[in-house]
Amino acid sequence: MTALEVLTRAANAPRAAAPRRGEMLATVLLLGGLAAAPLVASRASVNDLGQALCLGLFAISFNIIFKYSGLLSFGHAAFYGFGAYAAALLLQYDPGVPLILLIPATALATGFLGLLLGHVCVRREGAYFSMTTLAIGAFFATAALKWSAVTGGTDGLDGFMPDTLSVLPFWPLPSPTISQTYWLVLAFLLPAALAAWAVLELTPFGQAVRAVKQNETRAIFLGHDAHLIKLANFTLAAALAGLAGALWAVDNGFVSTDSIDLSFSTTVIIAALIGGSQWYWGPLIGAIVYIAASDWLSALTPHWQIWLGLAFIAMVLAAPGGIAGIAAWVWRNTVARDG
Amino acid sequence: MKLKTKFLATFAAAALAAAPPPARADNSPVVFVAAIIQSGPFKVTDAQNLAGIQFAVRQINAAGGVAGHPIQLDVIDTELNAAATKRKVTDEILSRNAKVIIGASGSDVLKALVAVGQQYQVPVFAFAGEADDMTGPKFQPALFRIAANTSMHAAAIVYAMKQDYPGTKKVFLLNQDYSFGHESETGFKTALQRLDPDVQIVGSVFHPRGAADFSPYLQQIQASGADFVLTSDWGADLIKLLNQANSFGLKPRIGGTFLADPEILKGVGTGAIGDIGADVFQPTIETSRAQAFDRKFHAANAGTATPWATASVGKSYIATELAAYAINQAGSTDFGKIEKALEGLQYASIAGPLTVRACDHQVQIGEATGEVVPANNKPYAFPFIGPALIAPLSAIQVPPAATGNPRCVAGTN
Repeated sequence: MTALEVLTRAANAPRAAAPRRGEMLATVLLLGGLAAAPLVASRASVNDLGQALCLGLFAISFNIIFKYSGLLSFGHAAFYGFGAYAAALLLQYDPGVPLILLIPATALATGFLGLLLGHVCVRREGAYFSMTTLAIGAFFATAALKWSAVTGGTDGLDGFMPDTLSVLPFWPLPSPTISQTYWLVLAFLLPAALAAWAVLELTPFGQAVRAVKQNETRAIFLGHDAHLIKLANFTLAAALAGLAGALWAVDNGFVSTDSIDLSFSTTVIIAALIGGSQWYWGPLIGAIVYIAASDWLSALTPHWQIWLGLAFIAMVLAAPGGIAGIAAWVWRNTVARDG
Repeated sequence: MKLKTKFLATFAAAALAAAPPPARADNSPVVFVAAIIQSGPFKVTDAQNLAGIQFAVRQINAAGGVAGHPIQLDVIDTELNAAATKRKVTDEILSRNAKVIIGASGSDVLKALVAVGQQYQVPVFAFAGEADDMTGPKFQPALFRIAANTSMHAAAIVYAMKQDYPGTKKVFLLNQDYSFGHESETGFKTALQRLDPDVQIVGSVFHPRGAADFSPYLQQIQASGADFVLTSDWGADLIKLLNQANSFGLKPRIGGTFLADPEILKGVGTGAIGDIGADVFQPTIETSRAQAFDRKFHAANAGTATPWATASVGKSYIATELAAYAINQAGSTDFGKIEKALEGLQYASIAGPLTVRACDHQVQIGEATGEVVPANNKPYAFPFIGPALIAPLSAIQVPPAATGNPRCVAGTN
């Protein structure tokens, strides 16, 4: 079994038969918990959670291609990094630009980039798609490294965050606290993620995307333009990744090549699969767990990456549904069986 | 009733936990956080820096700590990743009340540290991260840099070349193709123009980082007729360059800003004899203070992965020592008071007398240069840098007006 097949096994894992009721309850608990976190968690935890949210939205965007179109991207960080650099450069150019314009504009620009690149990528599937996205990811990572006049090269971009953040045209936010920044990130993240969820789960477009994934030939016979549908889904994922990158730039106040390099494209795959690719919000859980686990393990041992890697392999082999899959199994065998 | 008692006990425990902590006891530690690469292929680079910091902390604590408090050293793994570093060091400040940050290899990682330091008013003492602009146009007061900047480091190599190879007429510049390599090339050119204007630059080439084969560049160097090669290559690239230059039979010697490192030279052997390195500190500085430091460090670290003092050990030791000295001078861990104590501070370090320039917080000190000499067990059993020749500050200093830092240009020296 090739590595690609092992990873794809997670995308094709049987969908948990847990009832919608369980998923809805988990979603409400998760999103409510995230919104209330600054009220109960320490400032350090909120700081970590802010970064985890950005990685989480990025992982959701990766999973939109992986789960709904069955395509494994190895270069998704290109869109995240593009969004991060674009937001940083726009703030550098005009520190007074309101976030309500900056963040959506960055997402739209990244979506447009996704539309252009997706036109090439989604023509092929399997390893060909993965390798094409890998090449695109490598191109953007190299460009960020080499085009130092714009990106700052290895030094990155810093000092672009204004002292007073403009949220709305007439709503300045002087020296935002960690909690305020966190809620700002959440205020952009949640509507965007929920909108994407609604599009994919509640609209005929979402059904068409799933139909193309399940049997492309049959979908074409039914009158769907498979290429266009995959391209639209790819564009949607790219836009969300760009939005995550822009939010990360605002939350972090610093952008470097870490946000666009190839290893970050791997990190997002790990986060998505740890959380569980079959539940829409699973990758968000995976991102939180990934950051918490990497910080905790790195404080314990310099060899933490080995342990994290072993845990990931064990998860893919034993529980391809990830944390969400385990939770669904527990739900099915306890609450759902009793009720 | 029992349930009510249990509830009240739980409530009382929760209220106690939420209550503000008692006033800090006199012997409560001051947390220093060291940002070190502890995982990945660059781990070796920072092992020396960590050894220097740990040695300094042990000595400072043995002497009574800082302002009457012992130092608690927390180490975070930067992963050579700016975002992870920023997250971890912020956690250290918010949850552990860290008062000093010491770091870090990688200019982007150092910038992340400075961004956090600036936000929470915690000083950052830098043993590495040489980008000129950090103390220049992009200066942030939280940064105090012990490492030389790129221009000073390049100038020290050019100075040593002029002293050790006075007959040099033609030089070739070979650097890695990324922002640091380009900045170093500019530094070499500026230093040559200032220190040795008669020397002709017969070629300048940038190679990709991680290049496997240097023979095309070696052929260019040979064909150019250069007498000397200046490079800012580091790590595996520098080892490959030196080894392949030796196999190729390259005649001109090499001056490298990161050459004076036992991790580099032990892998090259006799092929490096005659090459030149430079840094703020060298274990071969022949002052009694430096020699005493070497002996004490070896006595404490014999049998470890870093048995002898190195350039990195020295810089990270000075960074830690300077942080402690500043807190003692300020009598407080308050950033404003530490900054005031440091600006313009003159201090007798193990590498010699240094000054913390007030306008840009760049430590001003001459650099210890040296030529690789045959193995003499001083201290290594392989060819290493010989007796240090100090490139004086006057030869390598970047004048305040040339830094691009508005405070320096305005005349705050």
